Amino acid sequence: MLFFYQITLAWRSICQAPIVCALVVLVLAAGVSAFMVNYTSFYQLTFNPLAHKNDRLFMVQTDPFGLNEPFTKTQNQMPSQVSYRDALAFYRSKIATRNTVVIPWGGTLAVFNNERKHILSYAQVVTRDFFPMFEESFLYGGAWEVTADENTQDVAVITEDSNNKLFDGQNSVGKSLFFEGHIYQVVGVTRKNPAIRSHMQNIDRGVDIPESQIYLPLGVVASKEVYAWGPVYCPVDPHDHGDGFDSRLKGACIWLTYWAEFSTGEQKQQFEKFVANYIEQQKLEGHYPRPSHFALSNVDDLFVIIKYNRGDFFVLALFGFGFLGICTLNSIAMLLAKFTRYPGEISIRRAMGATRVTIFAQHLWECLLLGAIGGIIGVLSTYTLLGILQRTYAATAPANGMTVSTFDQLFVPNPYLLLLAVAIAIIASVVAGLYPAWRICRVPVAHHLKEL
Amino acid sequence: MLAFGPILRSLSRRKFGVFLLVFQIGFSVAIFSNLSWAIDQLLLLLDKPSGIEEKSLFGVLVRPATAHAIHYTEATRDINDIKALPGVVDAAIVRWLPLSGYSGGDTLLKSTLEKDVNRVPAISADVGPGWLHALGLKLLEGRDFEPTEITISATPSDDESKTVIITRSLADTLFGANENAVGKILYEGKQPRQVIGVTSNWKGFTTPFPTGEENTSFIPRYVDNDVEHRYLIRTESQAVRGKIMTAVEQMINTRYQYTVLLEVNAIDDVAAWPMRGKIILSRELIGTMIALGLVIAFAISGQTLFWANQRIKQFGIRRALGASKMDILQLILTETGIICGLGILLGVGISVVVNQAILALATDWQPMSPWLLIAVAAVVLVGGLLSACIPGWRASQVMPGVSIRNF
Repeated sequence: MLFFYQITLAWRSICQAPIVCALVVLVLAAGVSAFMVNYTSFYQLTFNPLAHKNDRLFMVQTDPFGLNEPFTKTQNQMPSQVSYRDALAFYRSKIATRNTVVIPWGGTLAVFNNERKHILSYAQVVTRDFFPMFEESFLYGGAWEVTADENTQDVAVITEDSNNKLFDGQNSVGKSLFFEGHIYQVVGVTRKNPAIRSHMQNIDRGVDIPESQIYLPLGVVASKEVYAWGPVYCPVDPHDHGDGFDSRLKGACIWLTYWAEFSTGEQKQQFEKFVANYIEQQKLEGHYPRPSHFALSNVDDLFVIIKYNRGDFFVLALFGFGFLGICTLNSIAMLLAKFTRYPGEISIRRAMGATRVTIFAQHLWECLLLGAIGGIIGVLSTYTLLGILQRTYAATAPANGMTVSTFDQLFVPNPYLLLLAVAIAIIASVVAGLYPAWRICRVPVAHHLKEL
Repeated sequence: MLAFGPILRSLSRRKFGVFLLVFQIGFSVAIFSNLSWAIDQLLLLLDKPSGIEEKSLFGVLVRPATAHAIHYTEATRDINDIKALPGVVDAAIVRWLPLSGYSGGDTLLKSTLEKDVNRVPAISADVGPGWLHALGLKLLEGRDFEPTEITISATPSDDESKTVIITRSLADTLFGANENAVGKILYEGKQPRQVIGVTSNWKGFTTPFPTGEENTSFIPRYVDNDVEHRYLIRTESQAVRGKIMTAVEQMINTRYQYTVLLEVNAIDDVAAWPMRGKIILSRELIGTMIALGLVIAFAISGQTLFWANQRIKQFGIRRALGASKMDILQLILTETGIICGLGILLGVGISVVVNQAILALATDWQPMSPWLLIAVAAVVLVGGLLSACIPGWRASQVMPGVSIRNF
C-alpha cells in the first residue's frame, strides 16, 4: 500500500510541473536509447552462445612457422589455422569425443530446374560431429554417416534458408542439387539459428562472414579439390610437394581450423599429450622449427587471442555511454530546478512532522517514477531504431551476388538488454535525483514559512 | 566595460550548477570532436578519385553450375559479341570487378631475389585483351600487352606469363619514386616478370585504407579451368548502360541455356557496397551528434533561464540604477561565455585522451587534426551563446518597477 501511496504522491508532484518532468523523461529516454542502440551491436558481437561449452570445446592452435618469422597476427603468436596434414592426424587420433575441421568455402548452388536462379553461396566443409558441437539442430534429416568424412560420398546438409530458396521449404532429404559443378544428395536441413554462429565457426575471419548455406563432408576436400575461401599461410616446408592441389593436402600450408570437444579433463590432457608428441615427431621430419608451442583455445579465449576487430563497436558503445552521462548531468540540473521551486510546500510538510528522510525518500520515489517512464520510452525508441538499422543493413551485395546479408544480426534487439535499458534509466534518474533531493530536504524551514 | 569580478563571484555562488554545465559542455566537446573525426576517417575514401569512370562501366560474373568451365575461346566469343552491341565502347575479361572490395589476388612482390628486400603487398589480377581501354586507366609509360602475350593456363599454378603492367604507386614502392620501371623485373615468389608498362593510379579492386591507391599488377593470363569469370564492359554513357546490361544478361543466359550463375551489376553500385556499412555507421553517428547538440543547447538554455528567473529582482535593481537592456543581455552572455570556455577547455583535454584511446584500438586511423578541435570549440561556443540569447533577452526585458515593487 505504501508503495502505491508513494507513487501517487510522486505522480501528483510530477503533474505540478509537467513540462520540466516531460523534458527530464525525454532527455533520459534519449540517453538510454543512444546508449542501448550502440551497446547492442557490441553485445551481439561479443556474445558467445557457446559459453557453456567453454571448458569442453576448443580450437587447436600450433606454431609451424620458421625460427625467424614468428606469426604476429594473433596475441599468442599462433595462427588459428592448421595444415590439412596436421588436422587429419588430430582427427584420426580419435581421442576427442567429437571433432571437426571447419573449412570456409563457397560456390554456385543450384537445382535441376532452369527457371530457378542459381545462388552464389557460402559453404563450410565440416565433419558430422560439427552439428552437435556447434549446436546446429535439424529441421529434416540429420548429419551424414562417418563414411562420408573418411571416404568419399557426395552428400550435403543445407540450411533452412537454402531449402526455402531451392525446394520451397519442402522436405528435401534424398533430393539432389548441384554445388560447384558436382551433384550432391541432401541428407539434412538445419534449422535457422538466430544467434550469430558463423563468426564463431569462422572465428579467424571477422564479423562480416555470413551464415553458410551448405555444409559438405570432410571427404570432399580431396575428391573435389577444395580451395578454401580464406587466408592461406605457407611456412617454409623442407619437402617439395609440387604445385598442384596435392601440395595443399601434403604440404605445410595452413588453411583450415580444427576443433575438438572433450567429455572429461583427462581426455583433454590425453589429447594435449598427443599433440605435443605429434609436434616432436614432426620436428624430426624438419617441420615445426620453433620451440614446441601449441594451445587449445575456447571461443572466449579466441575473442582475445585473435585481435578481433571490435574497436569500432566498442568506441560506439563508449560514445553512447558518454551521451547517457551527459543526459544524466542534464537531468540533475532540471531536477534541481524543479525540486527547489516550491521550498514553502516542503517547509510546511517539515513543520507538520515529516522527517528529512521522508522528504528525501519521497523525492527519490519521484525520480524513480520519472526514470521508469523514461526507460519505457527509451526501450520503445531503441527497438524502433534497431529495427531501422537492421533493415538498412540487411541487403545483398551486388559485387559478387552473395545472397546473404552481413551486419544486420548485430542489431537484433535483445530482451535482456531492453530490460537492462529500463534499469539503467531508473538508476540514472535516481542518481540524478540524489543531490537535488538532498538539497531540498535541508531547506531552512523557518525562513520559508515566514515568507509564505 | 564589464567588470569580471562580480560575474565570477556570482558564478561562484552557483558552483554546483556551473560545475554541471561545464561538465556537460566538456563531455559534449569530447564526443563532438571524436565523432566528427570518426566520420571523417570512415568516409575518407569516398572523396578520393577512383581513377576510372565507374558510371559508364558494368560487370558480369559468370559461374557455371555444372562441371562445364568457360574456356578462353568461349569467353572471347562472349566478349566479341558484347563489343558488337550498340553503345558498347569496349569489353574485356578481368579477374575481379573494380572497386568491389573483393579480390582473391593478394600477393607479395619483390624487386630482387635478395633475401633482405622487403616484400611489397599488392593485388595481382589477370586481364584479357582490351582491358586497359575498358577500365579507362591511362598508360603512363611503356606499352600495353600484345594479344599474343595472353597466356592460357589450365590451373592458376601453371603460370607462364612473362610480362606485367603495374600501377604508378606500385612502381614507386618497388623501384623508387618516379624511376622508370619499364624493362625492370619484379618477382612474385620466385617467378620473374618483366614490367612492360605503368598505368595511372586508381582505387583498384580493393580500395585500400587510408591511401585509396591500390598497388596492382596486371597479368595477361586466362585460367581455363577456373569456375569463375568476369567481364568488364564500358558503355558510351550511364544513360545507355541499363539497356546494354539487360541485353548482355539475355545473351549469356540464352547462350549457356540458363546453366550459369549470372550477376550483372553497375560498377558504381558495386563500388558503393564496401562503403555502405561505413555510410550507415556515419549516419548513425551524425544522428547521435544532432541529438546530443539538441540536448546540450537545451541544457544551456534551460539553466540560463532558471538562473535568470532566480535573479530577476537583481536585474530589476540594475535596470533601476541605470543599466540598459543591452547591459543585462551582455552580462548573461558573458556568464554563458565563461561557462562554455571552461567547458571547452575541459572538453579539449578529454578529447585528446579519448582520441589516444581510440587510436590504440583503430591503429590504421590517423590522429585528430588540431583544426578539428578548434572548429568544434568554435561551434560549441557560438551554439552555447545562441542558446543563451532567448533567456538572456527575456531577462533583459524586466521592468525595473515591477521587480523591485515587492521589496
